Amino acid sequence: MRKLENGNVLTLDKNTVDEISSHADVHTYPLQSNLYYEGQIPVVGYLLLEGHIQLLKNKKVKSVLSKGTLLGVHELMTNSPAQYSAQILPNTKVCFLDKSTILEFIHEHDTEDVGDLFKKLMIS
Amino acid sequence: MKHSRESNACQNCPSRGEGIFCDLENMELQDISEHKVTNLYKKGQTLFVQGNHPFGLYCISSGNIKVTKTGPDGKESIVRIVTGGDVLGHRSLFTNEYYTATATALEDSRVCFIDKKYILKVIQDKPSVALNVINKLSRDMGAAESKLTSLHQKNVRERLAELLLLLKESHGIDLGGGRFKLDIKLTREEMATMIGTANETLIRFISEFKDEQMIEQDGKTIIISDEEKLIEWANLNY
Repeated sequence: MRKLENGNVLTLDKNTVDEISSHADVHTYPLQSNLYYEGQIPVVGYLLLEGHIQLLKNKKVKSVLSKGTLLGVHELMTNSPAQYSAQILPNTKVCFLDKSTILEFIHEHDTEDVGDLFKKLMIS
Repeated sequence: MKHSRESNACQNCPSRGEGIFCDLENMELQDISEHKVTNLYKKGQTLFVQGNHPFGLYCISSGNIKVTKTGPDGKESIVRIVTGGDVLGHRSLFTNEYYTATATALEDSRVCFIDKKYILKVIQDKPSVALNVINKLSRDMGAAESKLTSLHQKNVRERLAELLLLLKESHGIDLGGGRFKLDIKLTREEMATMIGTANETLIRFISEFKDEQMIEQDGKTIIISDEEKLIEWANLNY
C-alpha cells in the first residue's frame, strides 16, 4: 500500500498514518504557505492528514498531493535538496516530523513496520 | 547533489563568534552540525510565515532577513532586520505561540535550522547556549523598547537619522574619511515602514539629508558622510 512516487513522495496506508500522527505534532495551516523551495532541504518532513499540498517546479504546479502522503522525509534525513517546491493550501492539516522525532521513531519502533519505513527513507 | 556538510559545519560558519553556539567546543559544534539543516534562501523567499506553527530555531549564517508583520489592511511593517549570527523564531519557540511575524530573505542568505526538541535539549545541557539566547532576547527587547519610544517621542527627521545610524552600526562598511557605506539593500518603502512613515515623506527627508551633506547616494546604496551631524539630528538619548 506504500509506493514511492516522483519527488520522493510516499502514499501511506491508514494504519501507518494513524500510528505516525499519534506520535507527532499535528497542526492546521490557516494560510497558503511555502513549506520548502525546490533545491532546498526541507526543515521538517510532512504527513498530509487533510487538505492538499501542491508540488511545483519553476513555479508551475506539477502535482497535487492529498491525504496520507508523506513528503520531505527522505530529503531531510539524507540532507539532499528537494526536486520540487511544496506549497500548502489553506486549512490543510499536517503532521510535522522533525529530525529528532524521526530518530526517536526509529529508536522506539525499531522492529516495527513504521520504524523500518523511516530507516529506508534514511538511505541515500 | 548532496549539500556539503563540511562547508556548512558550524566550525566553518562565516558568522563564527557571533552566534548562540559559538562558546561550544568543536566536538559539541560537530554534533549540532550533524543535526541541523542548512539552506540557501534566495531573495524574496520566506523562512516562515506569520500565523504558522513554529517547529524550530533559525540561525542566520550569512545575509539579511527582514522580519515583518502584516496588519489587517494587508500593510507590511518591518519589525527588525536580522543578519549573520542572529537567531529567528526563538520567541515563538519558547512561548509555543504561532509565528507573530513573517521572515523573508532581503538578499541570498544562508540559514541553518535546528528542530525544537533538539534545541531545547541543547539549551538544557549547555548553559552557555541558554545565556546567549537570553542575551539575544534581552537585546531584542531593548531594541523594541527603543523603537517604541522613538515612534512616540521623535519626529520623522529624528527617526530617519536614528535608523541610518542603526544601519551604520549593523551593516556599515568603513570607506575611510568618516564615510560609511550601508551594505544592505532596502527599498525606500521598506525604510519608510521601519520608521513608521509614508514613502513620500521618507523620500523628502532623504533629499533633505543629502542637501545637508549628511548622506550620499550611489545608485540605491546610501553612504553616510557626516555621522556627527546625524547623531545631532537623531536627538539620541542614553
